[in-house]
Amino acid sequence: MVFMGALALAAAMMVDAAVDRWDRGLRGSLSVQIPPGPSEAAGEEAVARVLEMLHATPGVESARALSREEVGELLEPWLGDVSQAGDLPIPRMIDVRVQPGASLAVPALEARLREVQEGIGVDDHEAWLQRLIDYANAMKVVALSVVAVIGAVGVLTVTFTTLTRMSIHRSVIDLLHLMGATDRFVAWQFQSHAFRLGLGGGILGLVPTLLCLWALQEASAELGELLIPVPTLTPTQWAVIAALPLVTGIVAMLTARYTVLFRLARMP
Amino acid sequence: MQPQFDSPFAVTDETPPIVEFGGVGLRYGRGPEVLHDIDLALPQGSFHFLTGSSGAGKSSLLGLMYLARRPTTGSIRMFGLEVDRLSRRRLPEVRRRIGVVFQEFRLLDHLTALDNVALPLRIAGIPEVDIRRNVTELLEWVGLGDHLRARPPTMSGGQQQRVAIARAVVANPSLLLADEPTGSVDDHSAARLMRLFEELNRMGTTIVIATHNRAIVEESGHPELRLEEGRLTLVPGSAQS
Repeated sequence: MVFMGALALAAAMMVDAAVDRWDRGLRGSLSVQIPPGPSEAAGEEAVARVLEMLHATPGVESARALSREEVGELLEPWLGDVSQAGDLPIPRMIDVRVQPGASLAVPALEARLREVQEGIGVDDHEAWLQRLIDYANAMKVVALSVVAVIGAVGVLTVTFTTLTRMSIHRSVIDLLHLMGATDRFVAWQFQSHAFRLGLGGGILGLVPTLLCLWALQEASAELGELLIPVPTLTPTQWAVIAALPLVTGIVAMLTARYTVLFRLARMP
Repeated sequence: MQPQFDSPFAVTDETPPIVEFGGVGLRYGRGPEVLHDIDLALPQGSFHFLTGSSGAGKSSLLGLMYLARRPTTGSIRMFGLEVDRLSRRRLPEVRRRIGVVFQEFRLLDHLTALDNVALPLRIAGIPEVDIRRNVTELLEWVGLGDHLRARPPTMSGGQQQRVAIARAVVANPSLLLADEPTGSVDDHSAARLMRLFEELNRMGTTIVIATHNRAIVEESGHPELRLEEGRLTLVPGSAQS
């Protein structure tokens, strides 16, 4: 259960980290795409005029034209090495940063820029990004729900196991009570056993979890981040995963303790 | 509360009884009463035998004394407390003042002799270093110094009995109850056990021994609490006659 719960938790944290990266990287930015002109000189002139208009637009913090090489890197996963493509018409891209708090009327901006050259497109990442973020958050909720269900199943398992052990050791419990043991003393015998089992089981589940996460990271790194984000965990998140056995032990211990105390309180 | 018999031991205000039963009755479920209208006043430091035929209710009476169950009727005072009305949370403090030697020993097979005897001390929260020292001395005193690490299944009946007695006395109880302590041992071991009980009584422990061994009762001279058909009568010992 620790193995499944840890994987689900790791997935939730990875999605959360990816959403955070996307949000920081794309929110507040626009992309202006200028189709190739009849000549390279015409294309450069169009870029210069668009930049001038953008700099004069209220709410625009900065505008930078990407070089041909930078555009080539963006297109490489689909077109390969464009530097070998010779005269292949490649659109020019302008990366626009919006001032924080400002909002641009993207359709109106696009219409004005098209006065420079027909076909200029303004890509607002906001709508696409929000849909992506909503989808990712939904996945995160599902993953966390899996963790919660696994946790609840774990608690129920410990509860029923403890009740069964109490039944098996009923005579020993009676003897301890006759010797003057308090309910807490009796509970301590069960909770310490539950802690050891929870901790040990958590460690057994953690090892394959770490192996899976490492393998996943290694395998996805080769695909490159442009196609799919490489699942990575921050050091803090790795620490959270590593702490799961201890958390499991503590949860098992507390579950056993209160199960025993509750049951003993109902005895005459 | 007036007992229905005159105890040979004068019960004065300066020496309140350690155990007092007032009109105590006990019934299991809807069955017949196994104990009827028991009145009892055991002085501190006294030594009594609880006798009666099999099925007379000796174990039930002892069970009431070590608080294994509550009486169906009547009241019980122990150490000045009305224990039959005591809340469940307060019972442990009273039970820790009582040592019990069970008829079937009730040792824990998975624990060594040392750990079995140490159990009452661990329950009381005594430091582990003191526990090991005291328990080792006690087991040596009862002649089991070479069996500290032995587990009950590997020990004879007499050895188990001595472990059970050691466990009952290790916490220095004010009241020691023993249910047929000589029932599974030979005459020599029985005599040895009785000397042990006498020694404890001389050190101030109040003792009640349930037994059907007439020889031990008559030889000791201590008074009897005779149980017949659920009713209790006192038979003075030869020492008081």
